[in-house]
Amino acid sequence: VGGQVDPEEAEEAQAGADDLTFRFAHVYDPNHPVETCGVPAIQDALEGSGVTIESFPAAQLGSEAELLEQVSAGSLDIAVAGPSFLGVWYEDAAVLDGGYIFDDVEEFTETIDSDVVQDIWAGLYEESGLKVETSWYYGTRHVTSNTPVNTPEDLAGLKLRTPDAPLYLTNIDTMGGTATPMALDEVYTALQQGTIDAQENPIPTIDSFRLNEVQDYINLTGHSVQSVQIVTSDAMLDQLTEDQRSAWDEAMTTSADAVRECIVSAEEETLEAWREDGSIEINDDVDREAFAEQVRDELPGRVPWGETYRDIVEGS
Amino acid sequence: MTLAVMVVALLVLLLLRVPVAFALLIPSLAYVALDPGVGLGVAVQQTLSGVNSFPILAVPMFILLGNLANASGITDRVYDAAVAFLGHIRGSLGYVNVATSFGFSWMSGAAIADAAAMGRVQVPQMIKRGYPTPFALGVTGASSLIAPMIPPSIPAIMYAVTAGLSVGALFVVGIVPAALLVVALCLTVWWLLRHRSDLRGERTSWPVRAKALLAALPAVGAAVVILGGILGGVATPTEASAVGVLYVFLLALAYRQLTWSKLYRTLVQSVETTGSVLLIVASAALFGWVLARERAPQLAAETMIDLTTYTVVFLILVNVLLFVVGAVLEPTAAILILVPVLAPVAETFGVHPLHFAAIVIVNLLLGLLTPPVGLVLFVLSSVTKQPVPAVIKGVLPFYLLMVGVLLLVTFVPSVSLWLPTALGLAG
Amino acid sequence: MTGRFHRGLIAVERGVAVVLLVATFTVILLQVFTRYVLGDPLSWTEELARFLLVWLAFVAAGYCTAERLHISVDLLLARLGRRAGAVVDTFANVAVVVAAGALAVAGAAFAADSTGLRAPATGLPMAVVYGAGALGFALVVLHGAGNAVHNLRRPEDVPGAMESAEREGA
Ligand code: NA
Ligand code: NA
Repeated sequence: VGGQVDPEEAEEAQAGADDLTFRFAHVYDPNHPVETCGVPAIQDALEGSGVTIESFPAAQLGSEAELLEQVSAGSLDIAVAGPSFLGVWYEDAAVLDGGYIFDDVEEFTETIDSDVVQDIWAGLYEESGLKVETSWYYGTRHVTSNTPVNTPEDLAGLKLRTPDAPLYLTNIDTMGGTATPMALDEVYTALQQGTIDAQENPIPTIDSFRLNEVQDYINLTGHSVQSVQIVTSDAMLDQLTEDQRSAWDEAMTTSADAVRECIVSAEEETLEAWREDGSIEINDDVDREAFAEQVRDELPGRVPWGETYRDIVEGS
Repeated sequence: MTLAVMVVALLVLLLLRVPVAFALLIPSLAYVALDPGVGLGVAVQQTLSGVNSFPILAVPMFILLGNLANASGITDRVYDAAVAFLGHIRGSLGYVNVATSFGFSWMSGAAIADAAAMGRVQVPQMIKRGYPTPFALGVTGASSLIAPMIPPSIPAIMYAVTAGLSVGALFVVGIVPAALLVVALCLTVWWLLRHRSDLRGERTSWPVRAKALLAALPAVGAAVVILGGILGGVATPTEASAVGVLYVFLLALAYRQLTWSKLYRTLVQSVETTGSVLLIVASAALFGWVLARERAPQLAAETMIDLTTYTVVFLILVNVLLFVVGAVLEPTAAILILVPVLAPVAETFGVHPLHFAAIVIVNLLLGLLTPPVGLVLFVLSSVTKQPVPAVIKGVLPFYLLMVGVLLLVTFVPSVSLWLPTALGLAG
Repeated sequence: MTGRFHRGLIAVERGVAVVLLVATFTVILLQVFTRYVLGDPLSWTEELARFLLVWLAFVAAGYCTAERLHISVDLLLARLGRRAGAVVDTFANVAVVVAAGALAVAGAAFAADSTGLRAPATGLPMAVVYGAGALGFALVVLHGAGNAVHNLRRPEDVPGAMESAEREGA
């Protein structure tokens, strides 16, 4: 045991003393783009407005479900939560986690602020008082495996791990796979031991859990272009003056751009690194149309928000 | 300021014998009530979410497993096997005591269950055979700490859940430190009894040994089911814990040791321990939420960095803090409160999360033997009907080398990191 | 509150807690069986096991209050005489009653507020889950008050440090 830390590095940036400070909480690690790109982007945009945010990462203040309850009760100012968790308050909100709802990041960026999506947020607000201020790109999910997966037929018979949430199971099911729910911590050893054959995650997650070491192929299925929402309530927004409100709106726009840039470049860099070290083969021959067609056909009949799903897919 | 008031309130309430769970709840509730922005609903939400957790489910399962193992007679068989092999050595029952605890540790996750079981059976036996009473108490108390270091381990589950680490990795972290503890205990037994050549039994014949070993062998099955299941990636720790319970239950049936009333007593015992542990878990979740909201982790980091920038000094300071807290608080509660605050600081100082976990767990376990509030001291005193000071006197000579183990764990990272690294669990 | 009612209630809590423990065990085993033996896992076992654990925790919290099994620190009490000890222990019980009372009321409100929410896998109303907190803390209030009253009537029964530790270790 030796060494010394750099005190400069460990010091935290201090907010202006007279600023109106809002608590901003999420479940991601301190080194996740939500914290490293999103939070500074908001703080920068708010600079000089007399408003700032104080971030609580790593589920310090609770799980996604709990953070939303806290925002709803007024105990927390701003929460980051995904569509499935918003879906608990207003069914239609979960639609954004539906498989193949967007083709890629570009389409996601064009569609995420469209009228159909804005209508969902309006419905959520009416039902619960929860206000979605913006959506941050979270990553695109791909399937990793030990045999190439190009078509729904290739997926058949593979035991594929998903997070333990019904919609993830349904997504994989409609793609033609057999989903097994499991905690993320256990996936590495389960793949190593052959308890499961495949798994699906965004590239940064695959990288940080080193799943490229225990799988042969990353198949660019891109079956789920995911986002997380920045959620607040009138209790917070009503405290802002008009000028502060426009600074806040500006912060919402610039932060969404900043997070998307961070995550997209992280995805590209990781893929590039894998291409170079050969730790996992990148399979770009996936017949995404075949998967998309099958999912877009079957999914609407198996979820309560099938209509909204069709509206978004057709509108985009 | 708020933080200081809360910690003082916690200590005062503890002193006034308010149960640990409520000593955590009361200042937290006051905080929630005094902040106009926070509703009491959050207090309810956080206490409930503390126990609404799949990994925590392993806690009642492992408590049940240990109690069932005792009721099934498997512990007696481990003891008989240890006597058969070690009976003829000078001070044999001292080593037997350590060996039985080691064998039992693969089925038990808590020191108190070990101390109660061994204290009831082995201490009277040792005293009857002429072993000094403080020695009998000391070796039993000290060796009870093996149980929570070897998997399954309830402190390890709590730590994993609190710090967001893998339970499997944390299970493995304790194995080498536990082996060092066994060596330290045996050395102490040897030193204390080096002049007592009268304390040895008959040498046992090999056929007798083989028979005793065979009878104790099914105990190994529990370790295989639990550890094999988790490390093989076959099952989650919670699933493995339930399979372990099933295994020991079937074993008890095979041994014809279980009557309905004995089974019900075992279940009630398990419910009682579970109830007192889980309410602390629930309360600590709320207390921890308040600490996080008041930025205690960040403040702790800043304070620590003002004090020192050297990792070695940080580790010494942390050990002193843990030792003081461990002397007053039971390990589960201490882990739930301290880990969210200290683990991020340790990371700032470049300490590996699993290494830090080992330091925290081993240090807090020593607290079980440290006055004024060492639970193992009280438990041993009550099951053996010996006064607490006698137990303390007996534990003291063992303490020295146990602190040595803690220092090794603290300053030689490979002691805790070697095995998880070899198994690919160190991340 | 009659003695017989009180003992009966405690016996019911003990029995219910035991049933919950066995049920928790059974549900986890069912998960293992369907996942590893049948290869076709049920989606609701994990959630149900967690909810059973919540109920187990809070029913047992009530029971442990009645049997004075909650872990406490006997630092001061061991040095006090019987009478002073009884006073301190009674204060501790009153503090427990006040805190648990607040949580029982807040818990009931919290459960009532969540009537619209359903658990994703089992479809159980979240009010059923959150109700465990309200009930558990209400039981704690009942038994904590019982302990305080008992202390005033029979100070000689206040458990000392050794007795409470014995029961923890039992
Ligand atoms: Na022992
Ligand atoms: Na153990």
